[in-house]
Amino acid sequence: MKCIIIDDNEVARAAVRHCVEKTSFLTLSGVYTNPVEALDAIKAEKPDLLLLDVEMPEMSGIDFIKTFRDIPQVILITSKKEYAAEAFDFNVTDYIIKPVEYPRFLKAVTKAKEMQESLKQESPESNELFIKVTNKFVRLNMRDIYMIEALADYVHIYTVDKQRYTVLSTMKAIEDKLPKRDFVRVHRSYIVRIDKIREIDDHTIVISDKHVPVSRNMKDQLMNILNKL
Amino acid sequence: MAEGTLSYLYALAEGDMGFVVEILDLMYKNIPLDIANIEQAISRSDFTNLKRSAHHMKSSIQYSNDIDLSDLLAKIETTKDSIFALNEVKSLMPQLKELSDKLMQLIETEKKKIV
Repeated sequence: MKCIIIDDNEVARAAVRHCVEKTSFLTLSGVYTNPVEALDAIKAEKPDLLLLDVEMPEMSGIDFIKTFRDIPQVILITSKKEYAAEAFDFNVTDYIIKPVEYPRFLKAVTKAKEMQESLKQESPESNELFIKVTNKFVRLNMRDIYMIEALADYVHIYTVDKQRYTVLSTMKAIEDKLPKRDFVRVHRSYIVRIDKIREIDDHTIVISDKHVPVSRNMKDQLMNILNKL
Repeated sequence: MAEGTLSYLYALAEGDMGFVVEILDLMYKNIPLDIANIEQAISRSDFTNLKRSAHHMKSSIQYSNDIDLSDLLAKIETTKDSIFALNEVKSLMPQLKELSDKLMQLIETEKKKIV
């Protein structure tokens, strides 16, 4: 798990950093003295976990959480128990009282890791995918998507109602969002929905009304997962 | 300072004496700065910075297990924004300095033992 430490106090930062270094499943992406400084790093690094102090001069940890729409998991670290109730209103993963002791720290980060793993398992089961199209988010049902086509920095998403959506994304990013049991990558530039495949020949798949190239390696994988006679 | 007095720090370090020295050095560096900030805030009747500096110092000494010093800082941190309360904080300063000096001496002694 990639994590970021945000605390205005040097001693507190050093103590939390030491805890992170002792924890095999954590990787430290950055250490910041205030939330404003950390903001760009959070956008760029996309950490899985924020180890966040509550009482900081520039902005409190709780006010910082409020500014996010899509925040990573957060473990609040503070000297005051009074913040606990408010913190849990913002769905923080856990709450540690200073001075940080390693067994308590380990318990909190293990909880974060378990939540991350459980989310990873759950997300492919979701039947919906929100995609950003120009300045709005559009909800697509996964069952309606039959093909993804890569185009430079964009992908085209094709749906059974003959729509084509252009989305700023990589193939890898979109592949991670799709349920693996339903979709397969048949070519560097194509992902298809398995149950929409109509025909397969040496180098091509026919899906809906489209002919899609299939690479040799990926065809072997595809043939292995298909139910054949 | 006996290891027991720094029990939180030694427990967290788990034998990593480099980490113990790092924390002791940070405490030693920050204590005088925090006291200077508290004094400056008192002289300017700046309640925001007074509370902020007391909170910062409380965090800086968190691994010292110095309950008296920590309680004193907690009292300053929660002081009310009034001249009466400010005078009370002023009256606590000799005690704050005395406890801080003791802690600084103890840190020095502890470091000599380690290094």
